[in-house]
Amino acid sequence: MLDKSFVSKIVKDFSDLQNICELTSGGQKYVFKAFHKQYRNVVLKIIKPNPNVYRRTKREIRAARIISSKNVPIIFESNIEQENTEYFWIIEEFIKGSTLRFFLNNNYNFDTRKIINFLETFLNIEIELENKKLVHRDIKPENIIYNPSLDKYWLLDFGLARHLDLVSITQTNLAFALCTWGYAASEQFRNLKQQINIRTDLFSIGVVAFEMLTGYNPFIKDATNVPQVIKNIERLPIPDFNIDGDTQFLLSTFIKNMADNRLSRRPRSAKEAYEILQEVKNTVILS
Amino acid sequence: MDLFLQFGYGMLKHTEELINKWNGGTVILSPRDLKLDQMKNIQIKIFNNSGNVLLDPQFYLPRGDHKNLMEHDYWPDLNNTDNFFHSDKLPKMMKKIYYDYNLNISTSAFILPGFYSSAINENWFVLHKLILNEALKLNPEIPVFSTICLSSESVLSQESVHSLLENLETWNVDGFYIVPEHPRNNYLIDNPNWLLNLMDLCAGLKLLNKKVIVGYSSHQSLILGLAKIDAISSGTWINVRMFTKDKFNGKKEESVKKRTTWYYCPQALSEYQIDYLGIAHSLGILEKLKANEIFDSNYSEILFRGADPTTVNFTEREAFRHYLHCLHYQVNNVVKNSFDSTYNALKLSLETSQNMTEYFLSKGVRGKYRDFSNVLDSTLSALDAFRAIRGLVYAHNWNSL
Repeated sequence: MLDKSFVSKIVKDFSDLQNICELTSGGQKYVFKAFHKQYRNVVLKIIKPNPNVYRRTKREIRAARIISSKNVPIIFESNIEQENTEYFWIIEEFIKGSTLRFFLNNNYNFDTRKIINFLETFLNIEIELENKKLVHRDIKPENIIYNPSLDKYWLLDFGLARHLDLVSITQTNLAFALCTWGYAASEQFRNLKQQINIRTDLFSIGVVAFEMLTGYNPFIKDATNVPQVIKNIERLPIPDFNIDGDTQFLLSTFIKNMADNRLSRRPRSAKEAYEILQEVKNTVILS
Repeated sequence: MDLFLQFGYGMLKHTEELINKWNGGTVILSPRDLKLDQMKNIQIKIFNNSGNVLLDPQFYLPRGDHKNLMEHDYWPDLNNTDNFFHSDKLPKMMKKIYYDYNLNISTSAFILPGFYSSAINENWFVLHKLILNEALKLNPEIPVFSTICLSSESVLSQESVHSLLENLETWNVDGFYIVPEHPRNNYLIDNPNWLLNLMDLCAGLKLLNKKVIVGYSSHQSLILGLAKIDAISSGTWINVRMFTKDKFNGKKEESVKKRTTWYYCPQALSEYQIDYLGIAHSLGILEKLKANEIFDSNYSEILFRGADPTTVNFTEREAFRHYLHCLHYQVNNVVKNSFDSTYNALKLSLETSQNMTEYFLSKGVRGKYRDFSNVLDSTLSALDAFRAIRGLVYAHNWNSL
């Protein structure tokens, strides 16, 4: 819980926002919900100045701003390009829904239709990222918002996003790169920068789809430490699983191909993955 | 998919005959068996029959001491104390191979030297990249193919195969000439992992939009049609139908073994010694071994004219030509217009082989180590596993591969 004086300061500093209330806070970041006359419901993010956080936030904003997708929250305003500021702030679109993690923790039933919608949504986002030469690098249930009444998904947090034409800000000599264990492909956590491209995101999407169907992450399950997760990702293919209506087992094969740690076995691009999904979709009987 | 002829000992006349019969084709010349002037003469004859040539520099064992190879101008002296890969020796060798050999004999592509290594590791990548970089400095006017010579252990390791694939993604070449060593020096391969990993490697390279030629192959490599590779190359003797490093090592070169003539039954994917055709003749089932008419091979007609096959003059010459001619037909027809139809056709061909070899075995007609029944399970297993692993993406991309 934030102290009242800090919240009062925020209310004073953002006079064009009304009904400011805290959503989450932690580390260097505070997140509020508010109302803006023009943008309606918005999220206000306050970031304390810190070189690492600042660089990543700047990257996040730049990445999110060049993406045009209805499944990525719009960034309306920010002061991230300013120097010598007390704190950085971002005002972005408020998304109604909860994280995919919330639904997974509550054993929500993602049926075949919802899974196909998830895959189509995310492959469309990835096509947009691919066109803009971006890789998200942190697709996981915590960074996905789902609204069950709209059956709609949004992708959040471009803090690890990488523009493939720009110099990486991750240290090259690190044995392991920043990532979320269990969702990052080995070319990412092993910091093999030359091999990182859109296929890195396809891996994470495949893992998330598997988790939505089965309720568990196959690489994290039963692993008690990071070396075990690494071993699982690099040594074990994801297990076979059944999907209702997937009469020719092509949808499950498609998800397995996406989540194959062997880079060469994944679809070569988001566009190719989307096209294959359309072919697979024709073989699935939806109830 | 094409069948290239892998040149080996005593292959000149067969090459001329077959290239003429096929109205073209490609021959991979072997410096181990030919001097430069002989290559030039062969190239002229092949060109006159609308064929093409390639040159395999056979740099598999740089210190192999094979006399014929060492006599070639491009072969470096590796006995001095220096660093071959960081001296002027490498550029000199590459220039000689390119200008004096490839351009001189008008090869249709520049196959780069590549060496055998028991393991694919960082050193392997660095040294082969140096070879490639020297080649590219020459601005070759013909397509460039890197040689990837793999030990049987490397092919058996899925990790090695994928590490290779991930590394080769950035290589600026037009294609790859894959030379895989067979496990335990077996002619036909009974290890499904070896077969699957080779298919997986080829598929990964094809998906990078590269040309792929698999050298030193036999009819078992027909399953590579499902990976839609561009060509396999094969030849007469077993040592050009499978890669063995001893062939390129002067000290360990194979001694000449007792020669036996084998007849290839293409429907059974098996080869039989003439004595076993005699058994088939005495049981009245010889006709079942005859190559189907679609193969249009008159080289083996003499065996099926009614006389006991052991008494007719079916020589090595006819046996080799029959094998390569039938294989040529099989290779040319293995790839169908979709992934699924190619898979189905291959599966049918393997099941036919299964039925036929079981029948022949029950009658005492045995192909010994060339009987395909020995490797049917492994071959079928690799085919099905490949379909499970790569089928979806491959089927989608079939027409563009």
